[in-house]
Amino acid sequence: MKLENGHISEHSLMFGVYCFMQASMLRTAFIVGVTKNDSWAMAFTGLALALVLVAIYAALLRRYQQKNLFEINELIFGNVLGKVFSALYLFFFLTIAALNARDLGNFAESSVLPGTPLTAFILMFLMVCVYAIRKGIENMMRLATVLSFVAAGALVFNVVLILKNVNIEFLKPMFQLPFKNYVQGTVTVAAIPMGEILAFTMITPMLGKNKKAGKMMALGLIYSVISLSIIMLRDIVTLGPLLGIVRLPSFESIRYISLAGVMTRMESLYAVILISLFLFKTVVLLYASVLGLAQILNFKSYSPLTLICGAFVLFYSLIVTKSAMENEEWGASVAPFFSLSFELMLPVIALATAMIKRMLKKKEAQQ
Amino acid sequence: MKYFLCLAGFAVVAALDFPTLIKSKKRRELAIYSAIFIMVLAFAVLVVADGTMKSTIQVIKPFYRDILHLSFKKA
Repeated sequence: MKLENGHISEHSLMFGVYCFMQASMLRTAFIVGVTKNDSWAMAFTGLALALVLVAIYAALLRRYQQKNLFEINELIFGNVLGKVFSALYLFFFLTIAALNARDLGNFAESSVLPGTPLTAFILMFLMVCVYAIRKGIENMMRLATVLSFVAAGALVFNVVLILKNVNIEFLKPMFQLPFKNYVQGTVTVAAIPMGEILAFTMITPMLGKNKKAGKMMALGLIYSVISLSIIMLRDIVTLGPLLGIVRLPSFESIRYISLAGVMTRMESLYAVILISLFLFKTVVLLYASVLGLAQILNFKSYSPLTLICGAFVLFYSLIVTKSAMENEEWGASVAPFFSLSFELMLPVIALATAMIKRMLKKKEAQQ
Repeated sequence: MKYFLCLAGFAVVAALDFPTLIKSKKRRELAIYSAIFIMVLAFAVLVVADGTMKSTIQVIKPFYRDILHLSFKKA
């Protein structure tokens, strides 16, 4: 039985991926610490690796049309092992949702609403996420189109206004770091923001039959990589040596904007857009978790699980990491491998098993 | 105070979710939901009570770094 009957367009999916990726702007600090002023190039090298991931997801979705990741697991591995795989994905989605909620909480606590308790902010934020899921994810996916244009427009606006503060010399020396730094940067970019689009495999069945989910996910990723590299370039040429010191490079670089002393404090506008993007990303992750949990437990509707999952993510976000520093250290060291275990290893096992099963079936049919 | 807020929050969740589940007469779903509710409530009380609880990252990191030897060195 289908748990989700909503429909979305291919373009909504593409813009959804774009918004999802733009919400990861705060996480550029993970890469900047490793590849310094060459970080902008990591968006492109990371894309090459992320496109491989998308190709794997697309191959799975093509073989099992109109099925989501959790349904595919059960079809490939059977009821029991399929549920074990699904439970692993559920853990991953909940962890990422909690990490993102915590990231936003830390951001709000340090930059937007100093003095506001972290729990209060995350609680309000997750209440909106739960409300959005209860009203239907397709509404959120439609909203992604508007949100994408707002985010892209704000980026262009910021870049134009900051042009008088940039110093192109900050880009030098180019590509002088040890090779392993570039490998680390590439893997980190591919795994942490890009590979997380795995969550969209829970939404793609809403596209309908014979729709190109993989192509739309790849296009969304390509557009977001262009934005991401522009953001990182802007931060590098604006902040220069300060880049390695500040915790939120994107936020700090926008603080430099001052047009005739009238247009200042643009970062507050940026914060509103960022919170909206984070809302979209967390909604997608929470939706993937709720829908997945409903499927594992054979519920007829996912709706009753939204509030309790939201409550779980709230308390999970409070212990998922102790501090922003710990989160950053995690992002630069173990997080890429942790993410790739779910984004690469499990889908590859699923695809390989599906291919072997198909080959065996063909052989049986021939005999 | 924090215990009261936590329990009040869960009371609101229960007030919103349980009546719908009871009305729909899906006993199996009601039983599973109740189990999840109790588990999440217990987890929440633990988080609220124990400020020294290990973070998830602190648990996962040694597994990847020390057992699987999968970790980047911080630049």
